[in-house]
Amino acid sequence: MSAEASIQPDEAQSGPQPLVEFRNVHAGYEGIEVLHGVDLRVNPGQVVAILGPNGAGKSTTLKLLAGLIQPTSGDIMVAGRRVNGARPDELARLGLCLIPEGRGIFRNLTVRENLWMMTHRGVGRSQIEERSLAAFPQLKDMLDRVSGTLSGGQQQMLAMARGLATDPALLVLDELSMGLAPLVVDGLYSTVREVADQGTSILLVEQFARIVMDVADSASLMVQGHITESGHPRDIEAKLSQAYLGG
Amino acid sequence: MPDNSQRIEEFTKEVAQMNLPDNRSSRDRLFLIAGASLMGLGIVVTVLAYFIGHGTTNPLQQRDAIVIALIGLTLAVVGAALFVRYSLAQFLRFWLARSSWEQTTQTDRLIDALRTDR
Repeated sequence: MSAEASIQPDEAQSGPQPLVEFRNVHAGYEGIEVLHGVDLRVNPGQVVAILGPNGAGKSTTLKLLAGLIQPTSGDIMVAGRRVNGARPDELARLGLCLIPEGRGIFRNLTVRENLWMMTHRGVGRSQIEERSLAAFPQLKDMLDRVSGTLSGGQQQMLAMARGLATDPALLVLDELSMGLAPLVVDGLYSTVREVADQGTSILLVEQFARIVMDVADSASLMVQGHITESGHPRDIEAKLSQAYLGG
Repeated sequence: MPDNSQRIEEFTKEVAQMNLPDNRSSRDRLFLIAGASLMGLGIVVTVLAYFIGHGTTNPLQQRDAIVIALIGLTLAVVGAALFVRYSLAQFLRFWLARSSWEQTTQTDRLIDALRTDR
């Protein structure tokens, strides 16, 4: 994806209708505010990364988008419609696919059964298997294994395969690299790259800018519940170390 | 960039048609409170009817008291039904989540135990 697709300051105001837009979103847990007025925009076909240290509110942002928690104020717009209060299962059925931190697979089910869980969009089991194995052929030999016994990388592959099998309109990835070896992370991100090249919009969260450098068109730096910087991941990387050190 | 506009168009259309249940939880809560209130009111009306009937020897007034008691009883039954319906729904959701969580934890323990045995 070219740099042309990245968010420019003036484009953020005019441009095409964004697929996702956060407008001054505030949210928190048990009365404690975590996000203090987040503004974010993902255009169709764009890959946007949210970078930042632990506890910045990155995962909370994704949970809000997926409908897992509700904002206390502000608007969450998806495909031009305000979706505050939308049920997470409804959003998932329409094609907003969240791959959460910790993979979100059913560890007590086999790989095959995990894949079958993704028939909620009316796609048959065989088709789901076919699509998943096309993206991750390595899973073919593991179809009857209990997914909890897979390695971290294989579990993440399964989570990705499940997501991709539903033909998502928007793929939302939360810390894909967490706890995985760099080689495995590279492999997973090359798949993300392929998915992005097919035109799927992706919003992803990572702690390290270097990982998303070749994938993201645009990045936003989140610190203590605020988006402090937006731009190309390369520009954000320099500011990320300051954010980690609290500078 | 490949054209994914057909999928985006389909997604946009489906999002536009999506039924947003933004008032669902507040409506559930309203029915729960209404159920509890009706139940309480029904019991109070029934007890009052008893005292009305007990405090008079006039058969006409006693019949009125019976009618009032029946109305109170009906209110209590309807209130109880509403209360059970909406509190049970919340309980079952919680039970399902807990059951799923316990099963996952159990599986994790089993997997850890199997790995340690090796």
